[in-house]
Amino acid sequence: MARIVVLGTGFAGNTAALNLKKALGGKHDVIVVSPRKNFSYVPSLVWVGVGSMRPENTQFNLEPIYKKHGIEFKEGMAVEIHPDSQDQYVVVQYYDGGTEQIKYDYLINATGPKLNYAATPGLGPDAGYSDSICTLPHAVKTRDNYLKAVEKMKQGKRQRFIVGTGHGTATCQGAAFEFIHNLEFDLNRRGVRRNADITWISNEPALGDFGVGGVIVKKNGNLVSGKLFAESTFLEKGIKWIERSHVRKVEEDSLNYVNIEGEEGKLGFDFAMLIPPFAGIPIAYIDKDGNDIKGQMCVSSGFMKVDADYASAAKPFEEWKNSDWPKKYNNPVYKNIFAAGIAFAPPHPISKPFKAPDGTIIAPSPPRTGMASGIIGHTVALSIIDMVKNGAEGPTQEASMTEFGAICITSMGKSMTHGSAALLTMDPVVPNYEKYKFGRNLNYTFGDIGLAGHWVKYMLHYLFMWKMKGKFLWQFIPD
Amino acid sequence: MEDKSVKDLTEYVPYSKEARSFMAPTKYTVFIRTFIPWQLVKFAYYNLKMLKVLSKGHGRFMDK
Repeated sequence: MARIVVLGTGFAGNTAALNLKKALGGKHDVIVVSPRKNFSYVPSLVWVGVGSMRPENTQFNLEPIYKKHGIEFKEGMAVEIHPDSQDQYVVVQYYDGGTEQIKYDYLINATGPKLNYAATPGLGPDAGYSDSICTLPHAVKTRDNYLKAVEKMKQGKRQRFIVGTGHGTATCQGAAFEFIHNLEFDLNRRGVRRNADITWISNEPALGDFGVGGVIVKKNGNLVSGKLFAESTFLEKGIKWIERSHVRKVEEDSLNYVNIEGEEGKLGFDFAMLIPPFAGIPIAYIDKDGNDIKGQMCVSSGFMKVDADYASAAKPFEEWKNSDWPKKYNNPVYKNIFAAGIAFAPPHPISKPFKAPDGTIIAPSPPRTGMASGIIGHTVALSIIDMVKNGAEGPTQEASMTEFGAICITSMGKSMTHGSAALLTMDPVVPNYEKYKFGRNLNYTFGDIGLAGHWVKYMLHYLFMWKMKGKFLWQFIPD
Repeated sequence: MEDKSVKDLTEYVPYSKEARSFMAPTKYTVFIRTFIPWQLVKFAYYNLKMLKVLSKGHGRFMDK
């Protein structure tokens, strides 16, 4: 009997756990460890942040679902991993202070990111002055602060809004892009848009880069850059923007930034929603002699090493190759430990990195969206199933971000009759310039804006909530 | 400090750096983006497009 432990209950962890249990049945144990018993549908938090979706509609309790599927759930935090053979276990700390050692034959680290607000002084809703939509509690706090600003605007006071990334290496520009458009849409809906100054600030090399090197799509008989589309949305809505910038510090009512040209700036604000950079969840890795081996297991940002070429990070952008990217997602030393979703360490950014003249790094980190995380979690699960059931010696499945595509739907206003969203399909996620002239297969790469995009986003919200709940025919819904 | 890097195209400035790569939706485009009969057609089209991407599959079985 094999024991598979999954750390995390996001898209990657939950997808892996459901698929493992479905295939392995009662003969093998699947144990999920997470400090949160709720699954949170993060893509819809942009709507929670402006008060257009109730928080409870974005989450559900996983405990009864895991019970129904025969998955054991441990509500606690994984604090140590002991990976040496004959002595492989995870130390889990519970809320009551107790700890437990959970042995495993296969381990999937799908812990997601630590939100590294400390990287920028004054960043974040807990110890800083900016808001965030990265977690449900933060999105609720963002909504409350946003509604306070709306009340002031109803009294005729002008309010300054800043939305974007709070550090030169942050990722998830797409979520911030969604938020700024939903904010603008909602201000219009509430009749106070005329009292708002809205500014975008981002570390992207150009607007529309989204940390994936931008995108070229076919449009009206032309090949068009996504940069033009992104800029046109800001132009249409009267949103100012700052690109190629690192936020140096956030104060109570202003932030300081520097861009890659070395220009310093200061922006005043009444409300700021800034996405933080991500780091790996702080877990200790300890060998059989009690030594800390985190340096062998993780890169400096704390994400876990997998089958990627990490030496390529030192090479210039022009020398990066598709083969740098992982395919099987298991650790090169401890091959029965996998990392899926945001927890795996990418070999390097996707977008071209830049530096300000003073050496400040301005390089968006690679985004790993829900779809990519689900695909990787599923792939890892299939490999483990093959090893457990068929005796395969190693992972048998692969899914490289340089080969699989993704569908991204960027909400630009939540309404079934006059809302909007930008629908973008890209294939592959990481541009493959060795194979395609423009980095991607233009037959599968597509972009458009309209109400139908919003309907798709709304449909996917309920479709994926259904899938993540493991309800009837969940397995036929794609990752 | 002056915010030199803030871009604002709310007023079109001929020959400016921003104007060199200018694109903005016309009134017709803005209208058609929320014109429900056309958007129903688009909805069906988008679903076909997404199925096309998904039909490629995302993983593959390695040669052992």
